[in-house]
Amino acid sequence: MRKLILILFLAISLMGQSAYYRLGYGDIYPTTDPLGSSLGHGVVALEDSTRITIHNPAALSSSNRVHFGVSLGSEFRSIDNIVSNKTRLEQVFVTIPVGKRFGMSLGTHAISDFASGYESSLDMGSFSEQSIGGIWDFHLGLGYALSPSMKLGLKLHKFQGQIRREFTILTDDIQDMYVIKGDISGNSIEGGIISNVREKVSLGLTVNIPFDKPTLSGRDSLTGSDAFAEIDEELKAWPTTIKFGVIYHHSKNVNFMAGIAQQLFSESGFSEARVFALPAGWSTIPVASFQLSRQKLPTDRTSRYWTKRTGWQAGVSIKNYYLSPDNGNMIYEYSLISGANLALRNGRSLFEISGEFGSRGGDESLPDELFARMKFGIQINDMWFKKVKRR
Amino acid sequence: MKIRIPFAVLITALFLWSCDEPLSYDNASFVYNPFSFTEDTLNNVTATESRAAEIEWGSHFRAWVGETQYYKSGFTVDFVFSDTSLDIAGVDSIQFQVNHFLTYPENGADTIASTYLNFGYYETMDQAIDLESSSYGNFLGTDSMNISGGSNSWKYTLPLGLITEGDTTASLGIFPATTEYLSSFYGGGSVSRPLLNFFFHEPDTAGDDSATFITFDADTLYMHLIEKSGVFDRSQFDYISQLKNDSLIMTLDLQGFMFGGDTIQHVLSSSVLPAIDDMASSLYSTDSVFRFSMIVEDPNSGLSATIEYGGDGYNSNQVKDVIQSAIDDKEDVIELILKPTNSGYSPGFLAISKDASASALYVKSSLAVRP
Repeated sequence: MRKLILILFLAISLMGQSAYYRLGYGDIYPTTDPLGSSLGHGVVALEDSTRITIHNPAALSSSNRVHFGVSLGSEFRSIDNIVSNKTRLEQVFVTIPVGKRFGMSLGTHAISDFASGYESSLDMGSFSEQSIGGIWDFHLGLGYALSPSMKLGLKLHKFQGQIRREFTILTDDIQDMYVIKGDISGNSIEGGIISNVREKVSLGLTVNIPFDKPTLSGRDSLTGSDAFAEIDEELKAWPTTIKFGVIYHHSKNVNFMAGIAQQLFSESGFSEARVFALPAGWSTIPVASFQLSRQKLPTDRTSRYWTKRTGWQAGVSIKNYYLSPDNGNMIYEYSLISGANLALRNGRSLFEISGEFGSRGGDESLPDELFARMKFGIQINDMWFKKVKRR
Repeated sequence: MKIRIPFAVLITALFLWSCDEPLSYDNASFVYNPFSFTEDTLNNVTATESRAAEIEWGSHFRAWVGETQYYKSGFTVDFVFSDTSLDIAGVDSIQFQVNHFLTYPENGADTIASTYLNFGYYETMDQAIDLESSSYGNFLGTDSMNISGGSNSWKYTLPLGLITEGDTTASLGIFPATTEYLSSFYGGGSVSRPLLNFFFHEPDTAGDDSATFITFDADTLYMHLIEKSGVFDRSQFDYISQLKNDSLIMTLDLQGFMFGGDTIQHVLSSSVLPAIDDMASSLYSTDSVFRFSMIVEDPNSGLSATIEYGGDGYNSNQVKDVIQSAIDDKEDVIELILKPTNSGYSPGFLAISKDASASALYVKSSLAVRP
């Protein structure tokens, strides 16, 4: 117990909130559930008949049960030994088998967070800025098993978000507060494929293309007056995301995964942005993300021993940030990824946890930070909506 | 080690509770600083254009009589009796009454030295009024009127026989008989406009004689106003006068202030600074502060602001909403119309240099991201 308290104490003194949320579209989350966070993008090649993964719509046909999942995320950040935490609901979904070859999903998850605070003291006065909001992805997916070794999927994503940003400006003779608030909406389509190469290797690929890029519609108003300006700003740099995963099935209970993802941001996407503007000289760069992980599946999912019903995974992740300062420095994020899951004996409930511990930095204009992302998830499944044949 | 669930929940709760609120970073924490201020006064007025317009004096609340080095003015009024049951035959006497509001000295810096002033009264039916030659109609007489106070009535008894039974109309005028003053009166749009008092000789309830009167308001008022020749130098200045509805259109180039495209620009304060020549201007006031109030209007957005120029500069000059709107609409160039706020209510005027480059616009703004 003392060790646990010591670990918690150390963690408290090391965690903090990100300053990167103020830049561009804030932090963009490629994966948001415990399994995806602890395996990396290799998860797009994963299909499992006892659980569901919604990272690739092609995997939706892998289960003949209805699955319901929910996950919470808790993020801790440390900068200069100042600690902060943000805990929130990150994902809710339900998947339903449709016949023997089809499966569909319906769900939502957070994909971007704008929450940030900033103060700036200049010769003429001071600024204070507080932002809240983010973007959620509401999706509808359909998977189809073309053959036992080839599965296809399609998913429609609808982005819906909000932002509220308050500027308080103080000078010797002026105290003004401007409020920018508005709604964000857009659409994308994602195609996926999972293919098994013999028995040992699975390949997965997803391509998510925002055909209707998110657009902010709102107004910029001066509090205490009727003055306002309409804002209609397309998030032109919103990325196309390609994920590729390879799984090597080493044994019945052990998988090795490699995942690589590329996020392609329009180079000129921020050139006309005003709300989501970048500082002078900053630009977008393609995001390359790479993970290696090892997955240990439960030995016996119905065993009376919880140790045998427990699976775990661990790996490493590296990726660059999608924004680069004017000096061309790359901002990198390194992390250790790990997770565990425990199924109940009846096989209908699965508890998951993941931890991502890492650091981000690379340019002196932004602080280096340590982060820990903890995720907790529950999946339950049953034979709902399925007619039971009685003799 | 066995951890019971309530204990684990408690630890987790304490863990989260002990964390700080999300940080509010400042530019002392790290180099990255998105914000900046800009402040500049640019002589970016590219053109000025003066447009003349007269005040609709007939319906205005004021009318003017007097003569200064700048203006000469008087007014005439028409009375129409044709559709009334007025018993002119039974009238003993008729008074022409004007309600004096305030008398102004030669210019705003002067003081009124006199308590009484002479004014000339005229019968003006079908008469050509020419202020230049002081031709005002048929002279009836002069009368000395109290100008020291404000809001008092001046009553001039008309000569007998001027208005007789059968007359359907009457035209009377009042014009200056002295110089260095301008007096304002309640005008044709006021309920206290000029009027006639018809006096009748009737017995009162005790059987004694008692003078009673009937008032008859003027139907139409005509203002006659000229600028003195040689005193308004229109080769160097455009004028915005309270005794006219003239306006000045200033064309401003906003490009020097705009940071469009990649930042939110909030105009914190802005002033339009036309090149006003104090020596060539004349400001009046009703108290110790000399002021000239102007409306600054952007005809494109319809927004306007009131600015006030005083003897020692601007008492108020804030057109931030007008400029903010133009910047939000990505207007590189805007036209601002300057015109008097209270035209007709004082004899003041501003002389603004015709040299457009001498005028300027001041803008202080904040940028949400440093461009």
